[in-house]
Amino acid sequence: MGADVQKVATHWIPLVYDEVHALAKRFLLSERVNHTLQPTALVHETYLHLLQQSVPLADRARFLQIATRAMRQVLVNHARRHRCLKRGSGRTLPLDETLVVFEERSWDLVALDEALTRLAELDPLPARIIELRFFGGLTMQEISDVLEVPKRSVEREWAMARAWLRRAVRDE
Amino acid sequence: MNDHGDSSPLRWQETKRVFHALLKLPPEDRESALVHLCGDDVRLRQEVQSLLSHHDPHDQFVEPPKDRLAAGLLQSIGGATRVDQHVGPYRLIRELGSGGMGDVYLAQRTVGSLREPVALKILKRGMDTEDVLRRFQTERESLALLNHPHIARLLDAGSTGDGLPYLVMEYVEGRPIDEFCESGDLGVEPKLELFEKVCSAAHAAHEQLVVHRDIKPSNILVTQEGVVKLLDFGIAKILDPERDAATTKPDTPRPFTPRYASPEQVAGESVGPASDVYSLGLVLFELLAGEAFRRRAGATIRVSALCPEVSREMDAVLSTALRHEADRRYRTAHELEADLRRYRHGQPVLATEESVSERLGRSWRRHRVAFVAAALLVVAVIGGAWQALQAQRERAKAVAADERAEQVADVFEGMLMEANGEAQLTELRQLVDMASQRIVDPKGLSPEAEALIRQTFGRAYVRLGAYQEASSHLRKAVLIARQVFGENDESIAETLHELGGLLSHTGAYDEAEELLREALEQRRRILGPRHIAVAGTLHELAMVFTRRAEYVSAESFLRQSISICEEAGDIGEEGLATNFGSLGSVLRIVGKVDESEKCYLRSLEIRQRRLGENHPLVGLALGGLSLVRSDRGDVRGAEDFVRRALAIFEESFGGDHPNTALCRNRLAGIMSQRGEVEEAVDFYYQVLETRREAFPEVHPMIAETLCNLAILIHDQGDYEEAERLCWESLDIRQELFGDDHPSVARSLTVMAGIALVKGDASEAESLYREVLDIQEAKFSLDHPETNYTLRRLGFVVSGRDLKEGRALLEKARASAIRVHGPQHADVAEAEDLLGRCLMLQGEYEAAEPMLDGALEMRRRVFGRTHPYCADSLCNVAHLAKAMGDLEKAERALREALAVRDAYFPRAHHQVAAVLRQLGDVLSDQGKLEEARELLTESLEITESVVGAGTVYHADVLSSLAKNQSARGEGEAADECWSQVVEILEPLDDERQLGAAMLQWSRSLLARGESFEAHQRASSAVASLRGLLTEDHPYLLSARLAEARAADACGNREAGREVYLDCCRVIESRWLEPEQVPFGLRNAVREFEQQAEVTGDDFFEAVVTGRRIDGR
Repeated sequence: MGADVQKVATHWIPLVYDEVHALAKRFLLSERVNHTLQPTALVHETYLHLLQQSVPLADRARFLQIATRAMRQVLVNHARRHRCLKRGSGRTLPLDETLVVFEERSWDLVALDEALTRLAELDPLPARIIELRFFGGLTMQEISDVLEVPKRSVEREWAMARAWLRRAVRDE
Repeated sequence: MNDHGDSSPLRWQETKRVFHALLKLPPEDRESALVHLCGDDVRLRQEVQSLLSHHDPHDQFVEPPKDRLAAGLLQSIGGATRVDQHVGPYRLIRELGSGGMGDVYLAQRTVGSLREPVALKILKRGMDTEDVLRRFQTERESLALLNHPHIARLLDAGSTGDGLPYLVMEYVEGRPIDEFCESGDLGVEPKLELFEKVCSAAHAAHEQLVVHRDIKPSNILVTQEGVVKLLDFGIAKILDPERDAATTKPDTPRPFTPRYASPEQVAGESVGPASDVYSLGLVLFELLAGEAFRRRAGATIRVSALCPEVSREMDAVLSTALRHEADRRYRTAHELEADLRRYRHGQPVLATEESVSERLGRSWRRHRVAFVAAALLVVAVIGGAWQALQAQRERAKAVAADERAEQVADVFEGMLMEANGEAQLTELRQLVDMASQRIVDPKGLSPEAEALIRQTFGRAYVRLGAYQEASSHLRKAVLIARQVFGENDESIAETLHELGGLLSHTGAYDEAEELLREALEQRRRILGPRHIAVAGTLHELAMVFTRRAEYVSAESFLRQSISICEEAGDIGEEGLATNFGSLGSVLRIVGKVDESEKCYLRSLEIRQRRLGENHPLVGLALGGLSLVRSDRGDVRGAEDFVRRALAIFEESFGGDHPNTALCRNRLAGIMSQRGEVEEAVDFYYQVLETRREAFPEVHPMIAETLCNLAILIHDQGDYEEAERLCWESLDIRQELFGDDHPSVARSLTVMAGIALVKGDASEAESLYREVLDIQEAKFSLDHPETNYTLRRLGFVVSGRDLKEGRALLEKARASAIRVHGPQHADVAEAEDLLGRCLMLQGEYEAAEPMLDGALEMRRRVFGRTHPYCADSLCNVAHLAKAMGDLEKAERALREALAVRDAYFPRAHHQVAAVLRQLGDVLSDQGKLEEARELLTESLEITESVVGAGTVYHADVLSSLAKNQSARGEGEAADECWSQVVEILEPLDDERQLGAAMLQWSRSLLARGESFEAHQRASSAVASLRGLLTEDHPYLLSARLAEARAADACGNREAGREVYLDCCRVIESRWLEPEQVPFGLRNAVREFEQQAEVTGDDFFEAVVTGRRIDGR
C-alpha cells in the first residue's frame, strides 16, 4: 500500500469502523434477533453507507482495498473482543450472530487474521487477494481488475494462499 | 510461526512455482510430477505435499458470503479528488474527511499573509450556493462573535470554480474526543473536566443564538496538548436556517447524524439549544459508558450500570439531559456544565431522576411524534414517492427505502413497548392500519425490506391483539423470506417463530407445531443448540403442548429452555421469567400447586426487579399467583392478585385487549365464587365480546368464556341459554382438541350440571363419568378438577345407589384432604355431600357432625352469606327434620332462604327449593297457612323456571299435597299426588316415588281410605327396597305405614308381622330408644296406637328388656 493510500486509509478506516461499530451496537442493544444480523447485510450496509457519502476518491481500486481492510479490521476486532468477553465475564455478545458465518468458515477469525498478516509478510499479493475476496466479496474478475493482475494468476494465487491459510489456521 | 517448510520469501516463491505447476495437472498425475519437480529437495517436496493436502477447490474456507458485495460498489464510485486544486484563494493540500454535508480538505491560503492551515469544507451538490453565501454574509457578524477558545472559528465562505459553496474554518489538529478518552484511558474525572469545557463552549455559542445541531464526537476534537475544540459551530445556521417542520418534506436531506440527534430533530421539528444539550448528553453517555445510549422497553439504560465508577447521581444528570421533551431538560448547556462540576466536586446535583410514572406518562406523546414521522416515511417508501431521490440510482433508492423500513421497524417497536392506555392503543391501531394498507403494492421496496416491514406489522398487530391481520402479514413475510433468503437464514427462523407463536395463540396447534419445529431446527443449526433464541422457540413449542394438554412434553421443553436461559446470565433473565411463568401454569394444571407457586414467585421476582411494578408481564405473574390461591381455596388472596393484574392490564392494553379479557375472565370466576353473580355475568359478556372480535370463531378462549358464562347463567336459572352456550363451547373445543381434552371435559361438566337440574340423573352420571375418564388420564387423581368431578359424580350416584355414591364421596374427601389439608372449600363440599349421603343412608349420628362441620368450614372460607353456606344449611335442616328437631330445621332454612334470596333472583330454582323445604317443615309444625303460602310460591317459581314435569316440580307438588291433606283438603291433595306419580314414574326416580307414595298413603289413611292407603304404602316399600338397606329408617317407616294400612284394612295379622319384623331390626340397630330417629319413632307410635298395642309397647319392651314376641 502506497503512502498515499495509507494516508487516505487513516481517514477511511475509522469512518468505516465507525459505521460498522454503530451497527454493531445497535445489534448489541436490540432485544430482538434482528434480521440485519446477517453478516452479508452488515457488509452491505457498511459499503452502502460509504457510497451514500459520495466518495470523492478517484481510485476505486484503492478505495476497495481500503474498505476491505476496514471490514477485516471491524470483524476481527469484534471477534477478538468476543473472545475476551467469552474468557472474561462469560457474557455472550449478541453480535456473535453477525460473525457466525465468518466464524464457521474460518473456525477462528482471529487466527485467520494473524495468519493473513504472516502471509502478507511472505507475499503481499495472495494476502491482498484473500482480503478482497473474503472480506470484500469481490469476484475473481474484479480482483483482477483492481490489482491489475491476470485473472488466471489471481486464481492460482488464491488456491495456494487458501491451502496455506487453512493449514496455518488448523495448526493453531 | 509454524513448522511447515522454510518461511523465507525466497523459499516461498519456489514452493509457489511448484504448487502452481502441479495445480495445472490432473490430481492423479501430481504425485509423480512432484517428485520430478523437487528432485532431491525433500523439504520442498514435503512442504508442497502438505499444502496440496490442504487444497480443496470445493471447500468454502475463506470464501466470501454468498452475496456479491462489490458489484454495485464498483459502478458507483465516481468523482475525482480535489487534492492539489485551487479553490478561491486556497490550495487544497489533502483530504481530511468526508461527511454528510461534503468533503473536508486541509487547505492553505495562497495569497495574503495568513498562511495558517485551514479546514475547507466543500459542500455537496444540492445546496444553493447563492443562498449559502448570502446567509454567510448575514450571519457573519454573529459568527464573528463566536470567538471562544473551545470553538473552531468559521473564517470564510465562497464558491468553487464549478459552483459549489465552500466554508473555511479554523483547522484543528486533533482526535475526536471519544478516541482521545479511550486511547488515553482517561478516568471519569478528567473526562468530565474535559466535557465541561465542551459544555461551556456550546453555551457561549447558544448565547450568540447559534445552535450547533450536529454535536457528535467527531465534531469535538482534542489536540495533543489536550485542548478541546468544537468544530462546525454555525454551519447549521448558514445551511439550514429556521427549518419549518410543516413545509419540510420528510425525505429532504437533513444535516444531522441520527445517532446523536435529539428527538425533535428526528421528528423534523424546529430545534433550539435544548437539542444541543440532548446531543451533549448522548456524547457524554457514550464517553462514560463506552456504548451508545438507548432507551429500552420500560427502562432506560443507566450509565451507572455500565460504568461502575459513577454513582446514581450521574444517572440523574444524564436522564435530565436526555429527556425527550426539550423543555424538561437542562435549560442551558451551562446548567449541565454546572451540575457536572457539582458532581465532580462531590456536591449534590440539581438534577433528579424522573419517576417511572412520569416517564410512562410522557413516552407516548414523544413517540407519537416520531411515529407519525415514521408512518409518513413508510407511506412514502411504499408509495414510491421518492422524487427527491430520483436522481440517484435504483439501487441507492432501494437502500434508502430499506433503511427507512428499518427505522420504521425500530420506531414501531418502541411505540409498541411503551404505548399505554386504551386511547393510545386505538390511535396506534389506526396508524398501523393506515401504514399497512399502503403495503398492498410495495413498489420501490426490496423483498428484504418488505419482509421486515411485514414482520413488523405482524408483530404490531399481535401486540394490538389483532391476530387475523397479524397472521396475514406474517404469512407473507415467511413467503418472501423463503424466496429471498433460502432456508439457511435466521431471519426466516425468526418469522417462523413469530408466526408459529401466533398460530399457537389462535388455536391452530398442528400448523404452529410444524412451523416452530422448523424454526427450532434452523436456529439450532444456525445459531448453535444453546443459543438464547433456541430457548425462545423451545418455550413457544412448550406453549403448543400446554394448550394441547400434553403436559409432560410441555414441562420437558420448558425445563430445556430454562437451562439455556440460566446459562445465558443477564440476557437470559427475561426468558427465564417467562419460562417460570409457563412452567408455573403447567405444574398448576397437573395439580402440583406448591411447585407451581414457587415458579410463579420466581417469575414475579425477576419481572418486578427488571421491569418495575406495573409492567404487563408482572400482571401475568400476578394472575398466575391468583390461580394458585384459588386452588388453595384462598378466594380473597386470589381476588387481590387478580385485581392487581387487571389494573395493570387495563392500564397497559386497554379494556378490549384479549389479555385484559383473560384477566377479567379470572376475576369474574372469582366473583362468582364469592357470590357476586350479576357482576360476574356482566363481566363475562364483556370478555366474550372482546374475544369474539380478537379471535377467529373457533378459538379456545372463546370456548372458555362461553363455558364460564354457561355456568353463571345456569346458576341464575336460565337453563336454555346456559345449555345453548355450553353446546357452543363444547363444539368449539371438540373441533379444536378432539374428544379427550381437559377443556372438553370442562364443557361436559357444565352439561352434566344442566342435565341434573333438568332431572336427567342418568345423563348427568354418564357425562360425569366421561369427564372423569378424561381427567384421570390427563391429570393426577388428586387434581382439583378431578376431585370436583368425583364429588359431583358421588352426588349423582348417591341418588341411585347410596353405597356407591358414598364410596365415591369418601374417595373425593380423602383426596381433597390429602391435597389441601382438612380446612378447604373442596373438603367442605365433599363433607357436605358425604353428610347428606350418610343422612340418606339413615346414619344420622355420623351425618350430623359431618354436615355441621361442612357448614362451619364454608362459613369460614366463603363468609356466612355465600350460597354454599345455604346448601349446607339445607342439608343440616333436612337432617334436623329427620331427627325431629323441627325448630333447628326451621332456623336453618330461614337462614338459607335469606342467603339464597340475596344471591339469586327470587325466581330461581334454589330459592324455590328452600321455600319448599321450609314450607314442609312449617306444615309439620302445624303452621299450615304460612306453609301454604311458601309452597304456592315455590310451585309458581318451579313451574316457570325449571318447568313442569321435573323432579323439582314433583317435590313441590308432594309438599303441597301434604299441606293440603293436613288442612283437610283431601281431594286436592290426591290430585297433587297423582300428578307427582305421573311425573316420577317415567323418570325412574324410585326414591322420590317411594317418598311420595308414602306421604300419599299416610294422607289417605288419615282420611280413612285404608285400601288405597295400603296400595300406596306397598308400592312405596317396593320402590324404596331397591334403594335402601333393610335397617334404613325410611324404609322401616314405610313398612310400618304399610303395616298400619294393613291393620286398618282388617288384615291385623299381616300388619303385626311386619311390625314385629321392624321392631327386631330397630332393636338390633339402635341400642337406646332415644337414638331411634324421630320419624321412625313416630311411625312405630302411630302403628302401636292404631293397632292398640298398649301397655307393653315397643319402647317399653326395649327399655325393660322384654321381647315383644315373647310376650
